[in-house]
Amino acid sequence: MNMIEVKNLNFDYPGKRVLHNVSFTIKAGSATALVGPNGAGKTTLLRCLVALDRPHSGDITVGGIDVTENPRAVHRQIGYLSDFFGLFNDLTVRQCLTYMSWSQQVSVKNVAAHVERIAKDVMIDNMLDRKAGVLSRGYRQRLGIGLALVHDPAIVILDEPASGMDPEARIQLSRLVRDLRARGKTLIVSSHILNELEDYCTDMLIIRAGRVAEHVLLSDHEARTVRHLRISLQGGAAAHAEALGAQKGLSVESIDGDVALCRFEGDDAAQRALLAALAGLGLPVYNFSAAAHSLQDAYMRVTEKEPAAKSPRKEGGEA
Amino acid sequence: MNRYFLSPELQRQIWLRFSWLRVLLIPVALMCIIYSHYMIYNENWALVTSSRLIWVYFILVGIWGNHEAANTMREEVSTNTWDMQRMTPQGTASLVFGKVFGATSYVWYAGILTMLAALVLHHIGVRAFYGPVETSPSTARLVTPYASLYFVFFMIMGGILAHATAFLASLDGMVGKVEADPRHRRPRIVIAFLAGFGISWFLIRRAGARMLENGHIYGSRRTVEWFNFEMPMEMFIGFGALFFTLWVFVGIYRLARAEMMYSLTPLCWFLAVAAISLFAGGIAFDSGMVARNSIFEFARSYAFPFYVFSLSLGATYYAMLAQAGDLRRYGRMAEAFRARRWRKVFENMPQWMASFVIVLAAFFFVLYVVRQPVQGPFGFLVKPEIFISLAASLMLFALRDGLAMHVISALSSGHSQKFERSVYYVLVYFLLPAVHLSIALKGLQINPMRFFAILQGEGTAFHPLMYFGWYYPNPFPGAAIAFLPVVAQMVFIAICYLVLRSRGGDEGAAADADAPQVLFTEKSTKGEDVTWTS
Repeated sequence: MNMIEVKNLNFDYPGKRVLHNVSFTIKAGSATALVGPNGAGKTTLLRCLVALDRPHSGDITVGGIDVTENPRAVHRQIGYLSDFFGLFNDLTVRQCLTYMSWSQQVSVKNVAAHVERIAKDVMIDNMLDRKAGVLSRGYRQRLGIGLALVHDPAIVILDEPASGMDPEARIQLSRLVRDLRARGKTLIVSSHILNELEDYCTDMLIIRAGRVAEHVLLSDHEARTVRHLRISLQGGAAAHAEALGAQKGLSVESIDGDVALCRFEGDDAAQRALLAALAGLGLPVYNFSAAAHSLQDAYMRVTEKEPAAKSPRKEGGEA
Repeated sequence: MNRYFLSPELQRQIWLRFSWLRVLLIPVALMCIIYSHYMIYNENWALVTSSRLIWVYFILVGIWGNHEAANTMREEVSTNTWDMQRMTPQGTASLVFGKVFGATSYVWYAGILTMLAALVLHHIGVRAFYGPVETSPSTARLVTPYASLYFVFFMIMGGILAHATAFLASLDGMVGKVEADPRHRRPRIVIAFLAGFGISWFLIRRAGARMLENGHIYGSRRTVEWFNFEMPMEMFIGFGALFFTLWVFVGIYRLARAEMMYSLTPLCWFLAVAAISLFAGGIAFDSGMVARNSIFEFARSYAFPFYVFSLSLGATYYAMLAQAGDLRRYGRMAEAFRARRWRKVFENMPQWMASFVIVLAAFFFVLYVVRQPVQGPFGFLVKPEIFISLAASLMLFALRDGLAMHVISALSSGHSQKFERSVYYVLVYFLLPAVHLSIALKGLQINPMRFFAILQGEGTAFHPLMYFGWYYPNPFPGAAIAFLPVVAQMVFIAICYLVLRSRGGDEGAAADADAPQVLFTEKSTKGEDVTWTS
């Protein structure tokens, strides 16, 4: 079932078209990485999806509802964290979440208990009585996500959720997003950090110069068969390139000193067998690990194929 | 924390603005002011204190309140919390109510206490100073329920209408527009504050305070004729305040609904312009405007359609300029028109088009009225053509400026538009007329220094006035003089637009040709669903 359908979407900032005939569909329960260079139109696309901006033309359907016809109904289905989201800095975390619960007309009898549950979900329950303005970047981000989730939306859209976060906060965010996916939410996450998206995304939508460059549907993410390996060999990898290339499913892509970057076709069992075969051959392997990321590869393939698009001037807001 | 007070937004604002310390501060401050006056002044201490408390009320409600009302949207937009609120399903009325009254909630708390103290002290002071009601005519005049009720009414309306106006002006300038650029927010806030301040000054200081201190607003003129209704001045001002408050709140509500992505038509704008034009047009019947039974009696019948025409044209002009900065609406309207989605066409129709219907109707009303025979001894002096050409050229000038603003918007980037608009106005309304007039006066061998004497009828040649026709609304009966110059200017602007656009269009087409095209599809080595689409 398609949760989001976009057909021939065009959007203009005054005197400038920033989205050109954008069309794609997103399935319910999927997690889509929205990627593209700065100024490609990612934020504008998301703002059109969440019915915060009116497109020039085209159709957007979210959960079967036409966004341009009934934007208010769409708002109820979506939790959106914008890239430059704001918080009510002079309110406490509890007040922020309470206010948003009221505003979202959350149908629970005990709002206070609901607020505490949301705070626990986004791991901010130890900060409930602190003012939002004094929170660290990571906690602010969690509160922002909590505010977006307060009405239990079916679709969660996060625009650059990890920007400015420290590594620990990023790991927690990654966990939270995986948890949301496990709960059946449809997710769209815009980010530049592809290896983080790799952890939980099932699709990748690449936007370049206001157009959909590609929509990659990774239908079975966990069992992807193409993976990249980084094999370090004592004494230099070049000497063993031939032996490596002879292994089933393994092809050497590049060599840099001791390190050989290889493309491997096979599942986890095949990878284990490969390691055993390399050891059996007596190759001086001292490191064997996953290397590049599929999303990153796919993205790089697209960017290498296409001429570099001119980054559009920013007019009237982040494109 | 399971329930909120009236509206979630109001509750949030109350959290922000109230604390026990703040609640206690106002009564304590009032007691200090009253006690210090009691100690300093003699038998008139209560009257002096009352008068000063009205000033305190003005500072609280008229200055601080307007500042809060004008700034609340700026804070929301600049801290990026507005989008979050736009996406909530709370009702527009609840949100608007919460914002307007929530942002000023503490001001109202302080203001109401101050106003009540001023009223009570006034009653005490008048009785103490002039004597009891039974024996003193002054007391009888100053402590009437009529004066007290109007005092309270004007003081409160001086806050509500002013705050709502300040909020409306800031909301209008802040959201959903190219002008929402942060660099342009401060001037908008200043304008919003000044609008609110002006209303507060009039209603609190000129109306409310006078009602309490004098028992009436104006000494000499106590009644107003509105259409054919004669009513007390304070009733007319009160009626007007309520009327404008209604429309200001309608305006806020509609703007907020548009921000919350409801689809709106310009029908409400049409009704507002029609209602306000008619309301203000009714003042043409007041004898203060045109004296009853005077030789200018004939002007009364002219004044009403001209009032309606001028006000609706002014509103249309404002809407045209306000919406000229963003031409996307026209694109959406054209797109909907092509798709024959008529409701969408109407929804995307610019407001000025709707109110221009009123302008046209008023114009035809002017045409009808001025063709009626004029009564009175000076009726023979009235030439209908003068009024017709004045009205028509006013309309053409408005359309010309609107056209120019749209062309500037279409041809330049958002950041330079304001500069280019300013250049246009300075050029068209100052530099070109100055040059042209100087040449004309020189050609006619008229001393430019005597030009204003000529205007007053002392000279021999009236010709220089003709040259106003190039740049100003023209009251001359000749159609060629009145209309041709401005029509020529409009054609000139249109040609400039077409020429410049065709150059820009060529560049745009070249840029589009470089755009990335459809890529490729690929399957995984296992033949599974790794689908690549474009």
